[in-house]
Amino acid sequence: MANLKLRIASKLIAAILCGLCVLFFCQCTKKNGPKSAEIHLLLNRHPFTESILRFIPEYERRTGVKVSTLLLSEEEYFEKLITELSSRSSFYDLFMLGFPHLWQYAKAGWLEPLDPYIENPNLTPANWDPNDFFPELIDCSRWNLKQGTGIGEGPLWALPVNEEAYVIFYRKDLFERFQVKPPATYEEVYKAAKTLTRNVDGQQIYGFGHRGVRSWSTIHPGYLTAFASWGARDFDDSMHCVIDSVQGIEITDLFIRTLREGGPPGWPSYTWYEGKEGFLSGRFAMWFDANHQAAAFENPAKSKVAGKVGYQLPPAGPDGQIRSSTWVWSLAMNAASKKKDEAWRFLAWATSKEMLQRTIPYENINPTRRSVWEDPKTVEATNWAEGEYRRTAQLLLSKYARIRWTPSTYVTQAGDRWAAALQEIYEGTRSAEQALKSAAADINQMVRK
Amino acid sequence: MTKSRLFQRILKILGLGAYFTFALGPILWIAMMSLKNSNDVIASPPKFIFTPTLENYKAITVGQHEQNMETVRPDYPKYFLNTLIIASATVVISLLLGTFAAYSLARFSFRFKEDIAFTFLSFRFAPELMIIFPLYIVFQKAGLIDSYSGLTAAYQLITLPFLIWVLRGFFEDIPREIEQAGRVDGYTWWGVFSRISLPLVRPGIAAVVILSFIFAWNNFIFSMILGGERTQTVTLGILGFIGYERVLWGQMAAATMICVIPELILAFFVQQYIVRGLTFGAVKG
Amino acid sequence: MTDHALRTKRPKPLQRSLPYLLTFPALIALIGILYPFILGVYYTFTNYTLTEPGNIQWIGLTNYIEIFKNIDFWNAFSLTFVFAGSAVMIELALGLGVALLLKDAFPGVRILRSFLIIPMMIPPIVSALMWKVILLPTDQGVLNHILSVVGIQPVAWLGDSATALISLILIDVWIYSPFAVLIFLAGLQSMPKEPFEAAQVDGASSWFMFRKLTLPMLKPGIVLVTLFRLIDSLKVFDIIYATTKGGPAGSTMTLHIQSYFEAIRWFRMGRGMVYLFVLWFLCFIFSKVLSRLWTRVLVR
Repeated sequence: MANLKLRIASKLIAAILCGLCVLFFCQCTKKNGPKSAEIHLLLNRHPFTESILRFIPEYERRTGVKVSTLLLSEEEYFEKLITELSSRSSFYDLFMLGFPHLWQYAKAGWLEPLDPYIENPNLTPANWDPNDFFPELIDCSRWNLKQGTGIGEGPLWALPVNEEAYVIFYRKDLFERFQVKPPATYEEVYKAAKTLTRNVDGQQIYGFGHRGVRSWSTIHPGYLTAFASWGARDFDDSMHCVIDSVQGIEITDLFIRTLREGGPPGWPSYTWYEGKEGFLSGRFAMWFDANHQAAAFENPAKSKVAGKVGYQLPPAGPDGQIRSSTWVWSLAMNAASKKKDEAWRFLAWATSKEMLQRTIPYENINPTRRSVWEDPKTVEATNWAEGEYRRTAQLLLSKYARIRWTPSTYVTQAGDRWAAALQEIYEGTRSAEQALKSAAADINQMVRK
Repeated sequence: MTKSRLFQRILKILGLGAYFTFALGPILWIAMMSLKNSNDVIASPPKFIFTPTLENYKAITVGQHEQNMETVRPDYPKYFLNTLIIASATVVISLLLGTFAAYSLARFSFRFKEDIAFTFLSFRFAPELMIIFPLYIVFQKAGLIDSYSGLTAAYQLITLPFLIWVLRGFFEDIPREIEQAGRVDGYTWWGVFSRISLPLVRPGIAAVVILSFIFAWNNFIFSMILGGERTQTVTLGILGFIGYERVLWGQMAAATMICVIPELILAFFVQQYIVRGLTFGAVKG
Repeated sequence: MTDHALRTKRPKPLQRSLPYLLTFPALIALIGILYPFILGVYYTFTNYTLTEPGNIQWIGLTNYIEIFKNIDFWNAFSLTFVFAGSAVMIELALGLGVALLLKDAFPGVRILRSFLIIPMMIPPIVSALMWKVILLPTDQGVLNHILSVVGIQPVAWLGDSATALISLILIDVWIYSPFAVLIFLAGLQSMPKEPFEAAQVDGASSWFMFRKLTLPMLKPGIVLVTLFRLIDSLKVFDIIYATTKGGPAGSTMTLHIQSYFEAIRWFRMGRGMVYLFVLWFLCFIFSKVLSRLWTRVLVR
């Protein structure tokens, strides 16, 4: 009996192996097919990229150009991207960027400046209207390659497709119930966090949530907003690291104390999705992160806190100024691409008024074009908390949200080292002063090279 | 039954119970996650009682576009097929190359034998990150990026040394008298090899086949850097459920459960050999 | 015992070159790694930065000196050892224990032996992600939830520098102890019965038989498990990458993860390669020692 089983099994396995061999060799020969116009995109998982994916068949039909895409989660995406670009591969024509990467890659010469394409009437449709983009966001994508300065000057390296700024999401119901005012300063955030860390109706609530992993992306949202509001800077004008300034130490100490005494345990392991899910499931009283996450929080099908969310502008610093951080996702072109015209045509199509408007239902907010932001359909889709969301988003975009990193190619390195310092302070292995001084010394060494 | 025998038996049951709870508990939890809808899957406190749903499995095999939230549609079946092809090809080629090398190391004595043997092993312990960048550049120049043949070649680094070392042990276990008898009967080395030695190590081959297949199937870094759109593997695909707005834990769990199936099938067929077969240090002859 | 019998035939040139012919295809397949390896070692002596690939300058031992002077390197060094040593020892003990429990037949043993291997079948990076969910810090994590039933307060597991490394060791043991169990099980099952029967006739206790008969016969298995698991856990990457990425506060920053930060996140390839080269060297030393032990243990 066992013998029969074995023989059947062997035959089955042999058959499967033959099938796989055939597929294997088919794949190998497929490569030598006829070459029609084809562009390749390397993209990260994002509402913009995923919504554009749906419309690509339409683009292919209209233009006859084949568009292949590879989508990866954000961490893996940047790892693959750096591998491709640093080897001067011309395989991928377009890819997504944030401004730290934009600065690094522009300086390395891997990005194609886009102004000539915008100004070329043969490549850009007349109604594409470059001035429809929010000027602040276009500025974010320009850099003159000088370390320490130059945002808004120099060539345009990428086109913005998504913008975010930072707000403190807070639970209006909890604040009302325990008679806490929405915080207007960081000391008030600290007090509110402590007050609201308590057991409420059988569920443990934590007052304040923020990202915590050992990465520059932990520095970037709420923390950098607080840091900048306090008047501190990452680098001074001569690219000397000054995160250990008096103000820097003060606000860092306050911020970490807020997390320790008013936040969830295990903060250093909190990724953005854990924190977001924490707020979504009602376990946080406050969450200091990207404003567009409102889309998730206000969806009653997924969120336990829909309708109970307040949007508080980031608190002011000691000088009364609000200074939010910001993040812009942009689409850029590979300087080594061999199909730049075709790539530009796609880029222009994907960032046109029509296409950006069509990505709104797929949650590509906040939009980067004024016409899209003010379109009635967008207004309706983003009209959360009776307009409070739009009000804060508008204020942030026009007044308070700026890039708070000094433009340089060291943002990710410095940020990673900085985040490690925050973890040390949280764990108590070093005081705020020691940790920041040590980090500043390491960062200065990184920059010197 | 004596008291001590009873005591021993109880200890045995407790010990096995503890270990298998540890080993299979998380698997059970992953299976439960794959059957939960997206609200339950990361509920706090964790839900043990819930209404099961097949929507995760449907989503990854058939795909769904309905809700705006779930914008992730990672083409899971394609990744599955890719990984199946690459892992199988890797194992087949490792077998072809490695069996001969293992036999030669076991049977013949020749100059540099131990050095060559150690060289094979040394390929196993190059840290992946150390070789991945130069390997990427070499592959790029040779046009091997994002190709089945390229990935199969790269995966040899993972499977071939292991296969050679394990099979070497098996070949050395075969008593020389048996092979000498074959020689006396007039067979050449190839005859002895194919008719006598190879069948005797069938259990060992079964064992390395399943283990090599698992190693190749589970690889992450090589497939990410050296692969691309055409050859995206299941490991990378599962990571792809980390979306931008949220992590689709339910679908990730469902994908994990499905991903285990080929390995389970293979293991089921070779299971009897694995246990009987890994005979190192058997006192024979 | 020599190959005398094999050599009674006329020795053709083919005979002498046969071993080389047989091993060379496999060697060639793997030689492809030599170039990247040598290039990697070369990079350790340069200031190669990923964003400036055209500007590689030889700087001699500067990278080495800077890195060895930094306490972070030695932390990573010792963490790598602590992780690998603990994981391997636990896997050996657990593997042997479970194998002893599974070696005799009883109803259901075949099923248990098949299910045993399932943790290894899931890609480690996925297992680590799933474990991250199980080990969530507050009572949201399943493990904390279960512990709270018996009155234990929630532990922060991967989020606390005191418990992060232990959590990672737990994950590694979960994934790879089946490997040890399999190898030991096979070894136990293939043991000849005669020595044991003789010892029992002589009145030896089971502990005596275990110490004097079982363990020595398992030596090759022990060396094999130690060899492969030690190398793999020194090099561990996927598990740490998916969970803590070296945090919190550097409590899980092993050499491989540190090299990931240096080379891929901070673009300092030269320095990253130093960490990797040191790691490779450690693996090299241990495998040389263990493979010598292996051949000695195998010879009878």
